[in-house]
Amino acid sequence: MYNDKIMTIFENPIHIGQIKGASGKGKYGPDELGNAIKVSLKINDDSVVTDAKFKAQGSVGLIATASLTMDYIIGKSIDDIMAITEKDILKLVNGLPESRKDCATMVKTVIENAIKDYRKMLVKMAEKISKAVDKAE
Amino acid sequence: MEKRRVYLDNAATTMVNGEVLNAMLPYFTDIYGNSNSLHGFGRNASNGVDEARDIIAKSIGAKSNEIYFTSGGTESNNWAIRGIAYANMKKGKHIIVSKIEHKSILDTAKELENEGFEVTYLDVDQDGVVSLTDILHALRPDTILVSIMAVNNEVGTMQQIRAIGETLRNYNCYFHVDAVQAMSVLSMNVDDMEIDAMSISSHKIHGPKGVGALYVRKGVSIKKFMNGGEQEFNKRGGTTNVPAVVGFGKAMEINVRERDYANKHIKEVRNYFLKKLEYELTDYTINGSQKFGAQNILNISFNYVDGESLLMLLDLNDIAVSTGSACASGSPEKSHVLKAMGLSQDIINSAIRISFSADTSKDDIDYVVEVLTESVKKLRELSPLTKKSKGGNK
Repeated sequence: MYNDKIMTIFENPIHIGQIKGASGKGKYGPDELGNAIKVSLKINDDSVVTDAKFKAQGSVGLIATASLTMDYIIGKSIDDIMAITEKDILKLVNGLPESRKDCATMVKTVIENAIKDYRKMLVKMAEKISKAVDKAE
Repeated sequence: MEKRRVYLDNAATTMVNGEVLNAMLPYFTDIYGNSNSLHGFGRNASNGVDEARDIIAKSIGAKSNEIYFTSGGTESNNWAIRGIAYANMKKGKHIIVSKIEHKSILDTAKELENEGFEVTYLDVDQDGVVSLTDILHALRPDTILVSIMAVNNEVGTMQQIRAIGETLRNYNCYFHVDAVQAMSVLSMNVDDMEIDAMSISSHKIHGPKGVGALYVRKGVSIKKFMNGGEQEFNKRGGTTNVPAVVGFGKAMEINVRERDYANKHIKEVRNYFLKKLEYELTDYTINGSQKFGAQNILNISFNYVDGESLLMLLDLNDIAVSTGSACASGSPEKSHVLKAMGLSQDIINSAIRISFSADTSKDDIDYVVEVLTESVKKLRELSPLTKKSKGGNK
């Protein structure tokens, strides 16, 4: 039911784990079917993802899609990553079976959550700095 | 350890026995007549069919003219439910089934509901056992049929068929048993168990696929299933699949002859597997009844491991098991059986079914446990839900 690319990646997924001191973290699940995924991203000052890691529990499709997508987003700016669609992810994995297409949505969602987490952190930091400046003044 | 091919999905289907294949071969090339033809070619084919019918009837304590060949268990179940419902609808329109029946029963029951029949779906306990008391409570004056499977195909739980049969004797309704999964492990006697109709299948007992039978007790009203000929005592039209029927007969003969030995061997292999597994891994649950369970089926859930992913990792090492759900066939729908047993979503999502046969060796088990342990550990390391301390890896 899965294509060769997915099966190969599933056997040896890469970018597994959690980044210590990650810039942004995202999670999805566990949902009713037991799918759960966590992503951590390292993002540099130019808003480019320099490292991405994941941990996942779920179908073959979820694990392979996560591995391939992590690899794909490293080196890309967060704006470019936010523009990635499910269709792009499905293309990246050479397609998923109909019943597993939502794996692309889960991976997209979890990456978006990590970037939103990073942006939230930036806003908080900016607020902190402006408060500190106000105090100093 | 050296890689080897291990088939542990014998509840899905079994390898055709060599003796069975040899018995079938002449019916493709030499005795290929239509068993309904009047000439010698036909008569010879018909003799093969009659012989198979006799063997199968004898194996379940029935008469030969109570055995109707079908295309398999699914057809037998469809026919039993629909055929008995239609033929007896003047008496009543109420049917009782359990929630863990095969889809061929449940989907047919659902369709009959749309046609104005009423169906009671009986709950099961956490082991998958139907309570006799529940059946008694569900029975009504207009109940025409009770259908309960003897051995569940996903968890192996056995039902108290004899007790149910004896109880139903006092009620004016028929008792159908889906014994498709049971024949390889149990001796089913339709008289002792007071069964009115029973579905059986060839490919679960090392016979060919595409053939099964429905036993229907003399005097039970059942509507004809297929038009187009007077085959199968004018109840199921269509040219008889002679080689398959002959193979089914041979498979049943061997099954009866070797069942006790096979059961003993399977029990040993299962215990060996469980002992080895206990040494290697923790944090897993065996689903279904240990007390009322068929030994050949082992449904097991590993914490923090998705059933499909585990199945595919085993498959990459040439080991065949199945998930306890329809997932493997592409549907994301999870097992209705485990759900009816009230098991948690986590348990259901991580369930796999391992089913042994008389051909499973201890060497096979050594290899399987080694690969299984590695695979479970690998997936647990991948899981975001497990902490190192909770990983359960020894």
